[in-house]
Amino acid sequence: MIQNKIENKEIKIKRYPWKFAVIFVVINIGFILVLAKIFIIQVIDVDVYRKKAKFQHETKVNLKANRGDIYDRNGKIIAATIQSISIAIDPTIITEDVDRNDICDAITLVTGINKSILMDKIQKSTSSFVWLARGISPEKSNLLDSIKDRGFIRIFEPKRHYLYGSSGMQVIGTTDVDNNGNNGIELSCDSLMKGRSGFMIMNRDASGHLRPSLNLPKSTANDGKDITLTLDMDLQRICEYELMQGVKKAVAESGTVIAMDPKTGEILAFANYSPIANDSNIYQSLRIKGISDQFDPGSTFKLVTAASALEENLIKPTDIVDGGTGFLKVGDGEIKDDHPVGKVTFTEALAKSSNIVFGQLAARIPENDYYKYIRDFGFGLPLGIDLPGEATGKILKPIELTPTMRLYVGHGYGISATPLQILSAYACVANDGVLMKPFLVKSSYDKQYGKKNEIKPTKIRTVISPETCKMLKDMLVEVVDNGTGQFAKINGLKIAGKTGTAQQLFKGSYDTKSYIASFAGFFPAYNPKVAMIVVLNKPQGDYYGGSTAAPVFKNITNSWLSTNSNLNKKSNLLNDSTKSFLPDLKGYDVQVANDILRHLNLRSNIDANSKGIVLSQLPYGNKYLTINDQVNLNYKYFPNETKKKVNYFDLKGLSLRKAISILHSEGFLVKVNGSGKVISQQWITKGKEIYCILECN
Amino acid sequence: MAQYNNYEISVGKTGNEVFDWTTFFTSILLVTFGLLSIYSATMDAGQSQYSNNQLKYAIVSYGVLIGILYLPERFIHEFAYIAYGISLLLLILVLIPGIGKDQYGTRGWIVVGGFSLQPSEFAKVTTLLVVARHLSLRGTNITILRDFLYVSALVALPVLLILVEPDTGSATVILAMYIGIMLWAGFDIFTLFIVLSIPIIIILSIIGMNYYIASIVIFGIVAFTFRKKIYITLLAIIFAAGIGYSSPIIVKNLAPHQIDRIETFLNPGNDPRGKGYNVIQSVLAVGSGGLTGKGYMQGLQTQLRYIPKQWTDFIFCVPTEEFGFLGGITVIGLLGVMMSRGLKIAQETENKFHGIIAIGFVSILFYHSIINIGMAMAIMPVMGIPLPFLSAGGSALMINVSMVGLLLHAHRHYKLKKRAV
Repeated sequence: MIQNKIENKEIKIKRYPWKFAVIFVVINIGFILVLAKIFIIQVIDVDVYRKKAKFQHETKVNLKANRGDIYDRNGKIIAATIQSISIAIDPTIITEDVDRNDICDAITLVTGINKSILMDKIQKSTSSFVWLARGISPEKSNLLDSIKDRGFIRIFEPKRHYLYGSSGMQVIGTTDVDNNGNNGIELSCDSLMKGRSGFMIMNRDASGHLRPSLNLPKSTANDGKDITLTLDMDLQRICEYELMQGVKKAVAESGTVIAMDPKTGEILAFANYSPIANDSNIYQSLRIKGISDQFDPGSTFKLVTAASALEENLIKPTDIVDGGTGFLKVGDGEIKDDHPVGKVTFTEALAKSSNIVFGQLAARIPENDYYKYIRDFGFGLPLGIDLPGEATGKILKPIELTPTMRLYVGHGYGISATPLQILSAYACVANDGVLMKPFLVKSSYDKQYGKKNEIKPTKIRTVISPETCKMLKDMLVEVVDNGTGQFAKINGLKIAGKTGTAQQLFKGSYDTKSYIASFAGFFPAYNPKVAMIVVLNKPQGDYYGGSTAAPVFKNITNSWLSTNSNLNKKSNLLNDSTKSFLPDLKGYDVQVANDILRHLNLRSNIDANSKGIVLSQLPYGNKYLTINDQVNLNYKYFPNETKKKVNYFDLKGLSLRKAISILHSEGFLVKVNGSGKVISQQWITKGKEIYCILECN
Repeated sequence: MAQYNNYEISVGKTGNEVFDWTTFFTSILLVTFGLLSIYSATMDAGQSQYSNNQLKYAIVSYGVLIGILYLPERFIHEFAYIAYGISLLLLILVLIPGIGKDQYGTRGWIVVGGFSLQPSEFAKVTTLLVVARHLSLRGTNITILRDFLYVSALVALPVLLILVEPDTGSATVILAMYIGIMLWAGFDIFTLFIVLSIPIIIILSIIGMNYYIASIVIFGIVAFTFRKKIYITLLAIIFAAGIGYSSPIIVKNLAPHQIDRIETFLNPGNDPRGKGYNVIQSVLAVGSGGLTGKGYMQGLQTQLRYIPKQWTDFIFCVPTEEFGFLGGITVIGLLGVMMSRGLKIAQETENKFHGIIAIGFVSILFYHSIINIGMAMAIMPVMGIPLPFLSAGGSALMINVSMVGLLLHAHRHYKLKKRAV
């Protein structure tokens, strides 16, 4: 037995180490291989994997800055940002043609976009995101509510809305689909209004949810500044209406009206009308003619000649001048007076607008002086208005201002100017010889810091003496009272102005068929509040500025006086104090819309608790209502819209401690119910503070 | 029998010495590591019930471990067939619709009153017990055909039942265990070599013709080193060549999901959002962990839930992402310690039954670890094999801890016997 045991032991000693070794080696080889692989991945190639992981985990979320609003000089909101809905599709999720068809059908119904274009977009795309329609107004998007497909993407996007429709569109400008300024003030003040977008690096989990993290970089968005314009939207609308009537009556190609406060250079109204530009291409014809068109000013330029001669004491208003027979031969050409004046006073010569008198007067002014005055009145250089695309006009250098040339320049030919330049010259006279820089942006307001930046009127230079201005005013009043500008005459109001009827250069020579009729002036003549120019381009038939542009000037003045009590001119026309203009409020946040209505002295069905976006309104927008009328707003609350704002702080599933530290770092106040992990959250605004209520389990 | 009584007397006094503290604490550490990892992987996902459940199972498992430790030596020996029979019954029950529950395409769970049971896990240990029992009987020998067939049948029954579920992973675990036992019990090493080489040759020949040729050449060279009779060696080489040649043809006739698994294993990058997604994400988790890791509960790959069902099969990426290479080496080190303890007991004990159980345990542990960790590293196919002690799963944890209990039991009786002698 014992023998046997010993034998057994010997066998064991002989057998086990060998098998042991085999197993030991196999296990070790296995583990060494695995460890080697881990070492390669974790220690040698760590950077590769870290980079890949970072790319996968982190995503940059743009925090969009809100674009600033635009107000008129009386605090009326002109342009604001509304929520529009944009539709996109994920073709990798919606793969069935039937589904795609249905969606395209619905979008065609809502937007009118051709269905085949939509289908084409989807078919051709290889990405997982295809825009189908952008900027649909929220009231229409109701029709898309029934679409519940997962790959149907609905995004709330900010969209610019202009409360006065196309009124003032040229100067105010427009924005593109991405809400960047395209033209006008929107373009020139884009950087002010755009604000600075921020970003936030967030973690993205496997299901695509974004999660905030304290350790990741973040830069908050700064909202754009609100801008107040010098425009008076009431005057603007009056100008546009009267201009339209005038252009139609004169059968002109287009027309421009600019009104300015001569004391400050503030542009009060800036209208343009062209019957060719209908609603569909109004956005394409956004060239601001008032500052970009340049033409031979014609008779309105006689003001500059008169001012130069009077300032240089070459003539007095009472001096007798000779217009002769209304015909002056100059080399190959000739200067004509349509209505010969004969021997008259200088004042009468201006009132009758004698080309010959002013041509000969200009020839008497030394070329250097004449050049200086032309230049000082603001011709030949941009005035520096805060709008894009200002033209310089063309003037002649002293050396070019030969006596012969001066015969032409004296009554406004051989040089060119923009309507704004002519207006500025008249405003300069109205302002006792001080030329002011025209401007449109009165102030900007930074909502975040509550800082208001007023833009002060800028004096460009003093051009002529107040005494000369007094003489010129008398002469210009005479033009309206007894001269060519009689059609601008308003009983009880002294208007100073001058007509202009200029032949235009056409293929190198002055065309007898294309004229520019204009009237520039200011009122009240001896305490000017408004300087204004009316330009009608190519009127057919009666082309005289006195009979086409002057009535427009008069009508505008009349209408406007009736709405401005401070000018002491009562009128039986529309009385502003009982009427209020109701804009189109679709797409506005109900509370914002309510504010607007309150401002307009209109009542609404909105109370302080109403939430949502205005879908429609009754009565419809763009009409005058009697004050205290009721406006009923139909609105709808979109949970997504508010969710979007706080989307970045989806704290569900985070531990309470983490959630609170994130909220505090964002400047929110926190209220907690329960403890543990956040199972739901709710946002509450109390005054300026935003609370987040966290429900925990 | 008088001897037994003497053992019992000495237990009371020197319990400390007969208890294998190293093995015990290694298992405790592994289970703790597992609990921490499961917690980290599920806490933020709002699925902390996984770590809670795992903790409950761990407590129950250690109760079972203590029970096994103090069982009389003969009891386990006698109990083996009953346990085996029960586990076969469970394996049959689980296949019956209405009793068995499907999960991830496998009908492998019996759910009774919120308590879910995985019969294939129990089959591992019960099969080990009956095989160990039969081979430790006086006069049995694996080299005898009758015994070999008998033992093979004992192994084949559960394997076939598990394959029906189908749970190929667990079936291969029992086979791997059997191979370890065969080696230990003195089975012909040359035959074992051939058996082990076949799957490698099959995989290589599926990858490509060049790999196939190279694998056959290496197989041939190694085969000659066994210095068997020349015709046997040649026959083996021809057999291997034939298997390797025909396997790509067979693969074409496999079920699509099986082909998918093979394809994904060979080329995980091909289908990043599909079957290979888990592997790509787990490699990313491991790789971005670096030397020291991102810190506990700070692994973004884990916390942002990029690895689906991470708390089960892909648990290894949690410690490696959050504790880095050091975490990985710790887990592998602990598993290594556990295996070396098993090997030591297998070598030391004079009780053949205990020896085979220890070797079976080491084989299971090794196979599980290598496949699972390799899977997370994209060097092994995704087979649905959990990481012992760490992966969430009550049945598996209980079985693994029970096997540690068997090791402790074997160690205790070895010490007691040695003291008595």
